[in-house]
Amino acid sequence: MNSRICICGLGAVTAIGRNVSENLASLRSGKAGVGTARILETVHRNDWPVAEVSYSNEELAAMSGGQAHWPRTALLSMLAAREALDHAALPAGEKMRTGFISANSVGGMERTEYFYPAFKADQTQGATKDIVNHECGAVTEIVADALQIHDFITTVSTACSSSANSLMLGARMIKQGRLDVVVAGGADALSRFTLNGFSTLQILDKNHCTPFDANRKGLNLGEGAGYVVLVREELAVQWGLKVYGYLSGYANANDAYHQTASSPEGKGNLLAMTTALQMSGLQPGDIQYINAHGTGTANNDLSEGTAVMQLFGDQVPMLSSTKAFTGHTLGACGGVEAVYAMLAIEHGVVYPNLNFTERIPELSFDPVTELKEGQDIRHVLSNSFGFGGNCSALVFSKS
Amino acid sequence: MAVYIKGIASITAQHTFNQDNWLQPVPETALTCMPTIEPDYKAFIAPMQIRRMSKVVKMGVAAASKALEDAHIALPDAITIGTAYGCLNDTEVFLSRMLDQQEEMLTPTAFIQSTHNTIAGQIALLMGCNAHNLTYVQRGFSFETALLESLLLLAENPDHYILCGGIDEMTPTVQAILQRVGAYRTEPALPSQLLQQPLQGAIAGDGASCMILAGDARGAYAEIAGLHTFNKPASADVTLAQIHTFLEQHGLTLEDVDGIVIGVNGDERNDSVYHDVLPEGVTIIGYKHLTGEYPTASAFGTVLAAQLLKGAVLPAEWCLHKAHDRQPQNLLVWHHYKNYYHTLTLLKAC
Repeated sequence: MNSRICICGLGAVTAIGRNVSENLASLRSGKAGVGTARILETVHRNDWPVAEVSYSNEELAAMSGGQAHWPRTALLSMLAAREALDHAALPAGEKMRTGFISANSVGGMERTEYFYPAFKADQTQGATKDIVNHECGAVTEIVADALQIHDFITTVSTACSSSANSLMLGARMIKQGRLDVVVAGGADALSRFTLNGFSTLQILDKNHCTPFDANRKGLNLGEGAGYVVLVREELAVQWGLKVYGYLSGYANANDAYHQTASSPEGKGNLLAMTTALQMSGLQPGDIQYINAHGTGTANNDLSEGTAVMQLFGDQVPMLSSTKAFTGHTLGACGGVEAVYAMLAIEHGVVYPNLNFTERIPELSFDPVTELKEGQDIRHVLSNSFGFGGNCSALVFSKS
Repeated sequence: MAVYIKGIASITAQHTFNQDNWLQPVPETALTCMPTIEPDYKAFIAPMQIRRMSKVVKMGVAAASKALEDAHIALPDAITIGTAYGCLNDTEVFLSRMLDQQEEMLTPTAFIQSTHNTIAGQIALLMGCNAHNLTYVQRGFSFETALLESLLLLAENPDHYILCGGIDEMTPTVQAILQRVGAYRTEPALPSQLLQQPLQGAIAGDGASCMILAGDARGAYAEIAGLHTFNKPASADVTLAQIHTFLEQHGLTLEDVDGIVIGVNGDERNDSVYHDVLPEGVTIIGYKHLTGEYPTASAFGTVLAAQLLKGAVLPAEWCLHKAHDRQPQNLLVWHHYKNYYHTLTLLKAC
């Protein structure tokens, strides 16, 4: 390939940590973030456990430098994106074209839920400050303004694969010389809309989710944000930035099977993984760790596992889903898990797939169930799949 | 590399879907929201599915299918769609029931169809297209991101055919909210008078415009010679400098350009951004006074430019200022959203 895409900064906030180091510590200690909702005001608080970031909007505003009236998604986005930028320590005063490419699935929905009842009763009612940031793009825009990133701003919305696709567009923009630096990832806050939506689909687990287990019952929703700072290689070298790794491959495919379900054979999953590996110039045997999409639903884990078996045969690398830690953070998960992939490479660590007891009968492999330290992780494959058949795979490499 | 527009299809408030009555006059009525002229969806979608689909998905699928047909392509190598609002109608249906019923006794249909990528996902599903599939949702820059991504993808794979579109639906709720915040007018206006009497607020609309982009010039409508984006210009001078620089890179000046397609919509705050910059003596073409304003309306502006470069004749009501009688060889499509996101697209005749 031409210029490589360096990863020079990481930022994450989830139910298991307000920053990257807290997330890593929780992953290492096996501390999951799934529990009863305290901030989300839902009648289903005791029906569906969620992985909620434990801070109120006011607290998140104070922590991130955002404002408390912003949608919660924007506050989570701001916190993680700012951490990623601080971590990258880009040189002040250098001329650079910087982009903010974010992702989310429902924009400012959590504020809209407060606006709508009053508006519906009387169209002159409802506070407009609660609705003006409803659009997914508005959430990205207010964060970009606060971060003073103006050269390029956009938002991806491909349901649960959204933020993996942000990294993809960011890499393409850099490779083709349109940008030098991209803060790429995504964010999503819990909302009653998504919680009830997933509830109607009957794919929520009433208990802590059990990804890749034969008796898995569904997913737990989560919230959070994850971003990486992508930098053109020549500039990263010229500026003397610490390079944590490279985004060496990426691909997007569509399963074209069903609006919300994956094909049994995981056609789109396989196509995305295969194409991403091809781009990275790697063979399946070069991958040491797969951070799976692994939501814990009957459908996803079987399709994904089947696709993994087709690609890796009887040599499936270490694989785990971190969704039992963070819940399924929807539009944020590709960004959060990109951060986890980079941490796996940097610290030689593989995270346990919590709550696994029994192998899925159709699959030939078990996920990693115990924390593994001291591993030589050179290449990580990260999967993100979503409604609408959207399937994305990213490959992260140490060198 | 050179990128060509090989197939097009637009659904708007005007006759834009079929060639036989293309841009024929629509009786003028004073309105606050322009009604879309929807095609007969049965030609593109099975009747069972038509009933289940929201307007935005139907428009998207029909425009995508027609654009592919127009380019004689069965399956695209990538689908990239811009939609600022996504599936508003289904979103509101689910939200409203959820709040009315205190989160009880809900059914999944509207939720399933509420995600922004439902349009691109349904296009892929109905065609059995496993290719790259993306949805961009950046306000009045959504279609432009999709167009930019198409160019990036074609630079990687020049033999590919990309389906690119801009699709949005208007709903009474969104119109009412945007009227409250002053983005849309509450008093009806006639399209023919809208731009002569700029006030606060535009007339609403919606629609779907799709195009097939490829590296192959044969039978193309036009070439996309360049695309440049910039945000938040500090002044009209900065905007003008951006336009000059962009045109210079393509060996052109403003005077050389045969026409500029702009997004004036009758809202004085929007329109003045264009008027403060454009000099006298250039031909100016508008479309939003006839299609209504929606965040991805500029996709139609691009399709319109492509049609004109292939020789289509522009009815007088679309031409806001005529500086010459030249048959256009190049057109600049300039779109801005709230003077925040600007996009310049240079199209050339093939």
